Amino acid sequence: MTARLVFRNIGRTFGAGRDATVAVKGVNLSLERGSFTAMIGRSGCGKSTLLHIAAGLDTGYEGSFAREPAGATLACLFQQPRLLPWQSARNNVAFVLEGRGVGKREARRRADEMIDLVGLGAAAGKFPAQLSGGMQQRVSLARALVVDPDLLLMDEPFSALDELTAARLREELVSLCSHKERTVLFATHNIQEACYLADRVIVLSAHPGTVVADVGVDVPRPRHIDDPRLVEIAAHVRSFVDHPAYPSASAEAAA
Amino acid sequence: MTVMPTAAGAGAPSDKSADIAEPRVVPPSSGLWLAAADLGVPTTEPTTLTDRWRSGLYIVASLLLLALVWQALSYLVGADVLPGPVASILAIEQSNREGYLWSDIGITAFRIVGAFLIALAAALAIGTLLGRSRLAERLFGPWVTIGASIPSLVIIVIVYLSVGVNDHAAMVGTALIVAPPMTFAVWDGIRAINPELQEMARAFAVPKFTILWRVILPQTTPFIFTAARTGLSLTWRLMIFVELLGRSSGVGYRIQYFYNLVDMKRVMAAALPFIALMLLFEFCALRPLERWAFRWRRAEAK
Repeated sequence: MTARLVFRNIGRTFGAGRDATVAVKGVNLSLERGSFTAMIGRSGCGKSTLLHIAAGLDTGYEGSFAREPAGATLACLFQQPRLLPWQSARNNVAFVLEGRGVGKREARRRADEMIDLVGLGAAAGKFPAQLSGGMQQRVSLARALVVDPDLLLMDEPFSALDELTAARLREELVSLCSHKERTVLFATHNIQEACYLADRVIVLSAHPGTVVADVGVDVPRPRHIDDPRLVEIAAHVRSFVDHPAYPSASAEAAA
Repeated sequence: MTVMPTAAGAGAPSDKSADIAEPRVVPPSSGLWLAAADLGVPTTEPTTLTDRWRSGLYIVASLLLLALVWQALSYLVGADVLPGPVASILAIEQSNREGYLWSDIGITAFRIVGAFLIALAAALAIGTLLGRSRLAERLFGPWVTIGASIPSLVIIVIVYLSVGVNDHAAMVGTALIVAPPMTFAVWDGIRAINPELQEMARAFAVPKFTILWRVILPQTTPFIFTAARTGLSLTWRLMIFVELLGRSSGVGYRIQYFYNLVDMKRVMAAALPFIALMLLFEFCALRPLERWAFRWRRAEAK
């Protein structure tokens, strides 16, 4: 039961009166079941806003948003690991299961399995402060996957890591996600990363965030990051981001 | 209390175990460690058994040295002005024989607990309100600052005059002095709640009550613990003073009594057991509890 997401004419304004900022405007997007979509754009283009709406954390938007089926299981991976510092890695993963009514013992067992799967078996009993940034993000990945989500939302999950760790985690994400069809929405400002991971890259403009391009990545998996086809697609995506009219002019013309 | 973004230990791309973290030091992000530093006790933890023995030996050596200096001073200025440690400890036995050693301590301890609980309740309520409401913070925040800067004596005298010279007044007066600094600590704790963790839990569809209980409250406990510990040590030091001013029982009263008789030895005898008891409580109950409850803050790899 993977999920389908439909954004229809979504707008979101923060603040009011003269201080109001329009974060996103007129966004129409539909994410098919089992698709992996990357959103790319500079900071302030509304990536996080759209993810918040998709996660159900933000309900103050205009337009309509639907998650089908409504009861789809959802998991998030954030830029920061957002672990509970007073809980061990294992309990951090078990926490979200327990929050869903899974018994303590069963939750810990499944947490241990998942922590093994992300390669942290030996560190299951450690506190987050005892782990490196990359390991913390791994725990966070385990926490996202342990609920077996139909929909996985990721907000620049690797951008706070050094490039070597990020590259390794990216590969693991691909291998861990390939077991099951899930719908994935992934925000990033790394064009290469977007093309490597996704089936489809959405380019957003900033102030306000609107969709300026929708690029399919029709390269079979497993992929290699240096694949010339990916490089070519990345260059194509970059042409939208680097467009002289990029930030707002083209968006206003489109609107 | 956000986890710092770190790229530590991620240099070697060879295998997963390679980025097992080197022990990192968590910055002292709250007053928790400051409180320990107040007493001049190093906050680094002894790790091995021999280390622990060694640090225990140093404590014994330190106490012996203190006793030695004390004895030497006593010889220098005269035993009637400053009785030495042995004479003072022998005088405790005299208090015990006269039958008020334990009753004094019991009465004072009861008043301390009463005052402490009143102060804690007030600090929790006011600190939470100030931390949650911007309006309350603006309107009443300055009151806490003002309260903290009123001299203790003024508060005690006012409370004794308005409530009457009784146990209730002693407890309320002490609580009024102790509550403002405790309120600051609780206030800080409420402000330090990280909304990102709540957001995470909400995204994973964790129920509201579970979020409160397992995400929000644990973030404030280090601050509440700091508030409680510093509050308690302030309370017991103050209570003796409050008793001295207006009670006819308890350790403070006994000190005043022998002060009037200019019996320095018995003043020592009244104060020493109480000080020892409070230190024991601090080191044998509060410290271990704190170490256990907040072990996640010590980032040593085990």
